[in-house]
Amino acid sequence: MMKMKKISFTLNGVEKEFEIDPNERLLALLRRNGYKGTKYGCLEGACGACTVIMDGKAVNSCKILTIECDGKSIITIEGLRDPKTGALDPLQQAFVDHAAFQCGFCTPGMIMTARALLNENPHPTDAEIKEALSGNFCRCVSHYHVLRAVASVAEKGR
Amino acid sequence: MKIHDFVFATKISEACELLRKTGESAYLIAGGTSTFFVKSRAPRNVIDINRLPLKGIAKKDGVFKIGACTTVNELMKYKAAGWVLNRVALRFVNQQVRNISTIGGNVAKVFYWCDFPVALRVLEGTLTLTGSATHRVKISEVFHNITAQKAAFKNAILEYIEIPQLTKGMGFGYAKETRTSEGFSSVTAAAFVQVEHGLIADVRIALGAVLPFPLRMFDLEASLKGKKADRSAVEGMNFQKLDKYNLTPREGMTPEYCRHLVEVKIADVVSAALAEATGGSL
Repeated sequence: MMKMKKISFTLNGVEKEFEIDPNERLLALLRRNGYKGTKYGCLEGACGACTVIMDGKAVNSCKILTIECDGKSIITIEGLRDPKTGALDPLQQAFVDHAAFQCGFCTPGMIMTARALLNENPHPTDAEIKEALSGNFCRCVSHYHVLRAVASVAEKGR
Repeated sequence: MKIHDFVFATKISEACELLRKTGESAYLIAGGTSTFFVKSRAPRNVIDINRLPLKGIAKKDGVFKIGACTTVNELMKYKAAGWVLNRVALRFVNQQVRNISTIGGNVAKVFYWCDFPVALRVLEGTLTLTGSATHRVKISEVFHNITAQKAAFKNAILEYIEIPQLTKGMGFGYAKETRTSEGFSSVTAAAFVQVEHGLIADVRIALGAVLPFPLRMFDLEASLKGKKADRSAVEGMNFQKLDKYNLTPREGMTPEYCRHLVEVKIADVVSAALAEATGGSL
């Protein structure tokens, strides 16, 4: 019989407590609690559809044991919107403006990866954007639009 | 993997004690990505060492000391003269995985045959392990057969990895061939050279992915020592020296292609190392 564990972490700026099975992955917990912008993709850390930001770094939530999030800060796609005004994050708006998606399944993961990059490096080069997004797959081949969207935000303020 | 219990270790001594107490069911993690690849469903007691002070890179007296829980992303971003593991880190899966995977996990648990240990073998890295006592071992003593590898990490915690800082006249080359940018390695090769007075004074070549362990190619190295440090050394490499190795083609590779790719990648890494050592391009 596995031992259930109590943990707490900051989810989209709000402190939350959970009682969890230590086998559970963060992706499953998020979706079980209604954060469905984070997608089930390959479930092996290859496609990037489940990307969230943990302590400022883009990570695959399918690979993270929920218990390892204890005491950490997690941001999902739902947490990017301004909580007061409801305005989209500039990166989300750029994806809309550049039509940087087709079916949209990979888009939350793309945005979270790009957001982590821009938080750390506000003005990345095209090569740095490509490198950062190399772990996010898109079967609709929206990558060129995605690169333009991310670059448009990166270029602002230069 | 089936987790029965999960504990965050707060001290190295506590982690060692837990490891000893829980015996066969103990499973150490740092980034935790290795849990993905454990097929057995036997219940395991997980000891997480990721919150121990085993992170970061320090340089002292020409040696880089790397904490076992340093993430691959940190290795990639670290900048210092004579630091070369950023080149290995850059070819490690993708940004998301690099943000959680640790060098210790790679060396002790996952895919040790095709990533950092290949580079560590040519850099002649050492590992500091703590179990009932703390001791330092050469990476070559750990990675030569499965028994040695299993024995090294059984009941012991990898604390640090140390590698020398490269200086003038030294060069390093690394190549990891994959089918997609973040795919599994088909061939991994690494080379270190030291050039003195225009001649190859020292050379080390290691090969991984097509072998169960990252192995040094001693015969090939011997054939290069003393040669002029230019393109002719690479062109004159005697690849028949590879005949004695039982190369295992990865998925989608014929034996012929595997052998060809191994030769190309070895030539590439030796060329890159020579170019760096001589300060030019070959």
